[in-house]
Amino acid sequence: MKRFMPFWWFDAVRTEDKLNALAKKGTILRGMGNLGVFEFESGAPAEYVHRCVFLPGCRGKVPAGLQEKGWETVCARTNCYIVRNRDTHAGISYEREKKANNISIAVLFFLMCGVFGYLSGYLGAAADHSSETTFSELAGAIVVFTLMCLLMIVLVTVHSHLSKKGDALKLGGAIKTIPEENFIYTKEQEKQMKREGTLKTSFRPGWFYSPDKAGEYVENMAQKGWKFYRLDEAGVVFYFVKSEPCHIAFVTDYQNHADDGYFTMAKDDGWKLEFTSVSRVMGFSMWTKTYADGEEEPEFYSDTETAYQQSKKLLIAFGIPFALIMVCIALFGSIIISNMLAEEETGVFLAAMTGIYSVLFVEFAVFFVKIAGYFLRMRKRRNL
Amino acid sequence: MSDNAKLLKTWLPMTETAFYILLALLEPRHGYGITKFVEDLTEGRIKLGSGTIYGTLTKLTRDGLIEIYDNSDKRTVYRITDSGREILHAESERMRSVYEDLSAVEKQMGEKI
Repeated sequence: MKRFMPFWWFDAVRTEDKLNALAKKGTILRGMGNLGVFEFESGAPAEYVHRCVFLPGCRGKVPAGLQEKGWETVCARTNCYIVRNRDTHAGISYEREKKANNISIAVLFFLMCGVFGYLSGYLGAAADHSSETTFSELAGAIVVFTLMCLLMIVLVTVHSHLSKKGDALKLGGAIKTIPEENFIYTKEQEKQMKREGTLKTSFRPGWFYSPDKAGEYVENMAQKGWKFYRLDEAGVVFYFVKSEPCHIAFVTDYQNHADDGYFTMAKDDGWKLEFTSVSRVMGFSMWTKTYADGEEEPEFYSDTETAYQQSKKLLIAFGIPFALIMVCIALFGSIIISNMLAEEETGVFLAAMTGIYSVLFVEFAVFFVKIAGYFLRMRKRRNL
Repeated sequence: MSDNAKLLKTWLPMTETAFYILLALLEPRHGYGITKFVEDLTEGRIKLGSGTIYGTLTKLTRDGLIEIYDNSDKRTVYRITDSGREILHAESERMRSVYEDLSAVEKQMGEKI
């Protein structure tokens, strides 16, 4: 018997539930063909717990320690495995929350690419004067694109709200960027403290593109008697509370495959998790550690090479795409504005278009400069 | 070039971090277990940071020098593989040669450098 489950990995929780339910009815998973075709065989009804897990470097077999605990491999695709166990209480560590969230991230990403491709086609046609595409069609495409962007913002907001409320989208429960225990004060208490001058906030968009500067900023604030308290859920607002001058190490780490072992290791070493991104695309985690006067500053990276490699990863993952986006913005902006000028378009629409493209260009340019600066500083430190 | 020759070219000479991690993983250990082992072995001379360990573990796993042994709870346990043992052996031999060369020079000079 065969079943087609193409998005099994993107909705791991649902896949696991389905496989458990089928096994109970005597439909046992035997293996997996190409393109998400699952193969089953009939057998005696059995109680199994199935898990979709990410196991790098295991060459098709579950690790020995897991085998000893009753886990067996049913099938594997590169590093993604489906494993099962007769012991329904057996544990296994995996990135359920991040993985579950990836379905929406992937859908949004492909949607964005589609719209971008469509718009690019229109722009290309508009730039070609022999084409029949008129400027009003081009303006229409821009309006559609803007609306799609707004729709995506709404979708992301609604999704993040629903997933925080629970299982509304069956995406594996709450996805939180900040651990619950970090909220020492209630919202009302925070408002009160702000009025009394014992709590202050600082809005710093894009700070994680130069994390070393952010670390210096938090340390300086702590020495002035403003101890870091928390970040907001989007990770752009810093909250500080009035305290005695102290020392605090603040580190931003970028890992696109951070498993449970990563978080537990850092916590065991005394680091406190302040924030973690909800997707692998933005794989940032922020950690703090307080230390006493005269004590050596704790180091998340004990060698300059790792710090340099971190900055290089950031440059590749964000710096280069941002540079390409800047080129696209400059190109699209110049085509649109020159078309407007050619058709003697003036007034609000021309001003709005010029304004939007200038702001977008400056924003990405600032982010790019931050990342490039971070990379150069880390490279200089390594080469010292 | 054979796989082993490629690994030798990639990993030798080895960083102090990779060497001590491989040494620690002669027995299955989790991330913080590695930190403690290295700190105790070197009497505090080397304290590996979590970010450094995780990055190196990822690279060593990718190249098949270590493997995940167990991740049934929140701590992923790793252990060295046969390839990892071969690379560790080659690095140990290299370091022994370096030490012997140093000793020979010191003997000629009649004093420690």
